[in-house]
Amino acid sequence: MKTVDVNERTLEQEKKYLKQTSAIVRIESVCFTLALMMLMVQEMVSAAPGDGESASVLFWIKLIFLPLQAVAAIIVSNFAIALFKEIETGDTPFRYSIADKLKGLSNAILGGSIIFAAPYLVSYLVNAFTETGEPQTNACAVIMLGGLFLGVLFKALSYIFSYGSKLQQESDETL
Amino acid sequence: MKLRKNATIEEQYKNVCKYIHGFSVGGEAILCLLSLAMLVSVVAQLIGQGPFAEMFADDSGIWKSLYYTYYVLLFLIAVNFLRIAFKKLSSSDSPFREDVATGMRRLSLVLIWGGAGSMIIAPLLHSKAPVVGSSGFNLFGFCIMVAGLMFDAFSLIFKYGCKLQQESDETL
Repeated sequence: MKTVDVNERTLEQEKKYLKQTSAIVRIESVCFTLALMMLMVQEMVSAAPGDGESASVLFWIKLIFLPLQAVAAIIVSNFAIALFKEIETGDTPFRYSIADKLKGLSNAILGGSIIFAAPYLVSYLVNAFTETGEPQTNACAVIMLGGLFLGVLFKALSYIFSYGSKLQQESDETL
Repeated sequence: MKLRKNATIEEQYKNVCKYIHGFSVGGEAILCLLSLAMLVSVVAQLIGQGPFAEMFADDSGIWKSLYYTYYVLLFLIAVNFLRIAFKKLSSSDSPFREDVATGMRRLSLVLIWGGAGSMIIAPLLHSKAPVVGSSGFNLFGFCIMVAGLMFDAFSLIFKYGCKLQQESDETL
């Protein structure tokens, strides 16, 4: 099987590999969102109280936030799918529309992390004021920090793509 | 992130990259300490004495230690590559450099293989210690793999950007 050294790939070959990878990422994003929503529902069903048992405060708070979390997961996934679809179908990855989609994705991740962390924060506050004695986790801090880091990372990539779009524009004008 | 109102795109991305580099340095320091603690815990569990032997003092202690050690080491390696890439991004004239693209590719490989490993290890460890991992499909490992593929796509875009930058420089 003839292979091409990574460093000797032409621009066209780079574009071809990029399109293939973008298609795979799109499919995996859809699978990930579906799996996440099924897992969230399964977690709620398994945590549901049995006969004669009372549900924990965290269970009710999570149940209230479940639709919001599902919407947030769909929005983030939508941004990711649209981004990689545009990368896959365009002539060049350096377009201002892609930089804008990256910025949108970073904002969606920041917002989504707040929505996913909110149940744990609300549960913590309820526990602090009512002293229900339920065990608390540090999931809120982990989700917020992770979401903040990813959001800032995609924001940086959006600026880099804007720079790349400027470079592409200059290259096209020169041609 | 304070920027001048009319900051250029270069200033914008360098500023954000500096923050990410700072985050990565802090994260790597914490992960280094955690990984040391986890490794000591695993050794202590194996020999049955020493510090951190009581950290997971139950029948599934060693399996829990191994489970957390795997993820801590995985994220330590990933954050290290991320730190190096963003250090170069914040200090160089152009973001489109071969070493940045190579760094992103290495990060993507670590995440893809780490995620795949997680999808194998999590169910195995779950069978030994039901409190960790998951039976069947491991979503967290799958998420890590998706992130790895995203970074692979970005490394390819950066390589394309390098060629574009090279053509632009040659034209000038």
